[in-house]
Amino acid sequence: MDYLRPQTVAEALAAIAQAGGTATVIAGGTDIIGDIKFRGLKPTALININRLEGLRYITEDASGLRIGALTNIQELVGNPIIAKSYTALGDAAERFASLQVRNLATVAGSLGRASPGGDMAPPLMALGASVIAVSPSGEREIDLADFFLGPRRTVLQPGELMREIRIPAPGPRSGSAYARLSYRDVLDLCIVGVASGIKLDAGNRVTSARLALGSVAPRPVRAANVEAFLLGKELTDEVIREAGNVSSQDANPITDQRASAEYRKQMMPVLTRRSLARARDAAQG
Amino acid sequence: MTKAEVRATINGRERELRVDPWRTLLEMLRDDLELTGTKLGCEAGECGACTVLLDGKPVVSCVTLAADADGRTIETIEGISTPEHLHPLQDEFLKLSAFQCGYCAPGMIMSSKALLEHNPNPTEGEIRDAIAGNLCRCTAYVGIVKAIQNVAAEGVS
Repeated sequence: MDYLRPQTVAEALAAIAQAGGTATVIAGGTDIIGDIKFRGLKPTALININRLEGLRYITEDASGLRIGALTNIQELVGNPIIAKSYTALGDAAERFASLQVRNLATVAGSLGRASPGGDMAPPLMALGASVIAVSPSGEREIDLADFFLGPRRTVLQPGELMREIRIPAPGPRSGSAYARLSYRDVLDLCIVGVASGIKLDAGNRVTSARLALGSVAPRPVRAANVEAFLLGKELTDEVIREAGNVSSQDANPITDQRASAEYRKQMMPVLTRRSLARARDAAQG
Repeated sequence: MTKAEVRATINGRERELRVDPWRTLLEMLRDDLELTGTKLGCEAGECGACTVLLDGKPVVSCVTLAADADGRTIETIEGISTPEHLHPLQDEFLKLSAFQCGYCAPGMIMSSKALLEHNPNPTEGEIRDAIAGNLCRCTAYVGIVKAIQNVAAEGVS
């Protein structure tokens, strides 16, 4: 196995192109190392991108938030900009795995993994995030809602690398929250996770709603029925309760070792209500 | 096969190694450097037994690439004391029997040390958060939390 540690994005892209699809790109390593040791991954080369220059940052400007692909999850935790304006992402980051994993795992790595229950996807989707992918032929922006194809499968092409995650500025009277259910608070994948990102007008009517569900489908999905139901309605407790009911139309969860399909189905409305209520509080706060 | 070059400061000492690219930091510490105080538990980053400090921050060394230690500072349980002088956390863990089998203790102590270095006066909740990624299957948690509280009260030396 060859080992390469490129310094720049250009070098990394060249190394990946040269390896011709048989190399594995590694950053934080928290999943890939297990793939190599226990799950039969045998790359011809390991391309370590963990320390590419200039890909670890969290910056905000008028257009929104930009997160460098190699930013680790712990760097999101307690970030004042995220805590204030991108609350759902902060909620998810502080409940992600454990501190020792958060200090290693990268935001882009978590997305690239495309785990149906990954905690980064629902909040970022609810915030309308997109991924900037680079390849030798240029750059493209991919809406996160179109990014995931299934477990460990994304629309990224061989030879493409994630460079940045972008979140549009939420604007006034916006709020977001991520509610997740697991047996333990740490070191446990979620049974159901629901992220809400909403915008209200002066009369508390919903002018924009994005909800995303985790762990209830082969990939993180937007809750299209809930979103359509909420649009234009005044966000009362009763509407939030009803939105929870509608959420059961937005996914057909399966049974696995963590929970039964029936339990997940029962919990989707509960988590939908919790995340919506907190998003409303944030929007009104 | 290519080897990865690792130049790192490990427990205050400059080390130079050549490792297989897929080798983990835990394997490098235990097998190449015979620093066996750091324990192998789940080997999947889910139990915290292998916690070491990488540039002062706790990480699970079983899912850290050894090659990623290059140019960085690593501290393990062996680096925090001498045979004559235990670290205050070790003293207090012993005094309160803050473990039964002891397997989680090195990782637990490294997480605690990282906590106290950036937060010398943690609340009980902050202590519990800081060691949430370290599982103790003997469930000695009450003693562990108390030991960390006692060290915080005395001030880390």
